[in-house]
Amino acid sequence: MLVSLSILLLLAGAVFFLAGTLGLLRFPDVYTRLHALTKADNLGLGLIVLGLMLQADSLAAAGKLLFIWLLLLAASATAGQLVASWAQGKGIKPWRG
Amino acid sequence: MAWLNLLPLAIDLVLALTLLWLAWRALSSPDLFRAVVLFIALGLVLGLVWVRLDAVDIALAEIALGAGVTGALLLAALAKLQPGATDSAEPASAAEFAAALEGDPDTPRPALAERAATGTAPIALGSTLDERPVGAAAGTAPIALRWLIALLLIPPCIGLGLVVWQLWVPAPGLTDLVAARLDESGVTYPVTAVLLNFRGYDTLLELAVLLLALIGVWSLSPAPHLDDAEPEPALAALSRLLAPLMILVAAYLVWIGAQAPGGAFQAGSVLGAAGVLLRLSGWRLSPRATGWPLRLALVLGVAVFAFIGLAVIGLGQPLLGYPAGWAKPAILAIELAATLSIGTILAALFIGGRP
Amino acid sequence: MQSLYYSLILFLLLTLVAGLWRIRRGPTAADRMLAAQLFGTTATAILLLLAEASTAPALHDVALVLALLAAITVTAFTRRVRGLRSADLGLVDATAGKDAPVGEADGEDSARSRKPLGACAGERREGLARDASPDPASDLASGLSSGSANGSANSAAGGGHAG
Repeated sequence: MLVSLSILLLLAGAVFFLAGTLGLLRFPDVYTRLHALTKADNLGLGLIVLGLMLQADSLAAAGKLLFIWLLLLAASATAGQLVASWAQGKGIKPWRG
Repeated sequence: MAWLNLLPLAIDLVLALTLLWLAWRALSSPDLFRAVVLFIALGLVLGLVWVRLDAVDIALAEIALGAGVTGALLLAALAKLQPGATDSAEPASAAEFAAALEGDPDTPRPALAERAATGTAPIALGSTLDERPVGAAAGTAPIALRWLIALLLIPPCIGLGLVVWQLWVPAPGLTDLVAARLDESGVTYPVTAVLLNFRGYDTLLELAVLLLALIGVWSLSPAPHLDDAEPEPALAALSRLLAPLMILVAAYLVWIGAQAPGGAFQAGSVLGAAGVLLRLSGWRLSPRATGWPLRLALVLGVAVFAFIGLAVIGLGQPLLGYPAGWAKPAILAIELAATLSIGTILAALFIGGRP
Repeated sequence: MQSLYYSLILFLLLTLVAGLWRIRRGPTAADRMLAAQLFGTTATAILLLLAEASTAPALHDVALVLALLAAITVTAFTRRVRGLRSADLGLVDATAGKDAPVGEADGEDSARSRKPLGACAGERREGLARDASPDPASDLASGLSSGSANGSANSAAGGGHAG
């Protein structure tokens, strides 16, 4: 039961990673690509971490996994804000239409 | 389901090919910024390769340095070399941007299109001759010569591959010797035992080399004046969150190095990255701290290591031969001092000049 | 379960390779940095899956270090451009405005920076003061010497970016 839930979460996480990469490749400008990227970071890694936490050996190991995800959340959120403000400072216009 | 056994092999194959491709593109890319980003990606993939080769300590060091100090160093160096580097790759107006969306974004490339049409576009040998890399001399070798060299290089590569293939028996190495003496070494992890006890002399000299590199950098110029008015709130908040965590993780890595992959160098790399993050977020060392406290932190690693190594001579041991029972505290002291030093040296290397 | 992990790893690795195309293609420098950021996240996921697949808990530590340092490359990319510009533009104004708090801040900083050596690395780092730039006169000299080559080019280009 736990194993099948874990498998489901892992597969969902992989799907979000695919979505994030596809977004990075196919979206028309920096801002939209940034949006796709943060989906991969938050949800993709989050679901994978959740799936692995269900299989973890101990509470400490699960806590470490959660910690890794939270760190990456903070890092990618800030990175997104920095890149977006850099792009705006350079005068890159958002894609319209 | 025999193909399931091939999955690890497939992973290794993809990693190896990606590594080779990244290395080639990082070297042959005409745009320096692209080369730097490819090099950073190369560091990450190389870290994964180390993991697949069961060398987790090296993977820790590679990732800590590649994602941290090295990336920042290369970008800072690029900024000094080419102040407008990131501008050159960008379209200046909306019209160019729209054109970039549809077609090839690297606008000065008509020559490649016509050479591709005539079928002489270099396939194995990469990029265009028109976009000159910065600093390269005019006039590259003709295509025929390059193909000839490539053909001449193929037999030695095949020969090398055959030789390595013949070596595919597990070589014993020094694993048994280390395992036999591990109890006396003071730690339970063989890599740390080798680095800090059995081959401690090499580690001492590595620390000295790092210090020498910093002295070399300091002798070149004073520190650049990067006065940023205010960092963005998101970055300031992130640095306040991450810097203490990095210190904590560095301490954890030093501590766990006795039993599992970790150690002074990896912890020092994380500390160096903390220094880089603080520097980029606008923190400045107070002028009093850049005097002797900074210099003390820099030489502490080599000093403690050398002191302990020489002091044991007075107790009748050879150089760096820890007395029985004293190995663990000696290694711990050396690792703590080395971590502080390595972190400070790496951060000072990023800052790039004497204070 | 093992094979699921390995197939997920292969899948993520292939998405990583696909992301390389954005480095080659991306019209702006930010696109290339975004691709590098995605690689960091994908590599973290791959490391976590490898930790489970080959039961090596040490790989959790590697993933931890990667997650911790993920933001630094993007920060270095974003900050250095801005840093150069404001240094070349506002050299005189910046140092003049920062003179006031140097006096009070220094007293406690020097006390903190003279901690006994037995203090752990954490306290050592806390001794880094968040304060104004060091000695303004030497800064001016060093800033002029290091920034002079870039100064004319950047101040001309950066004049429109004062905001």
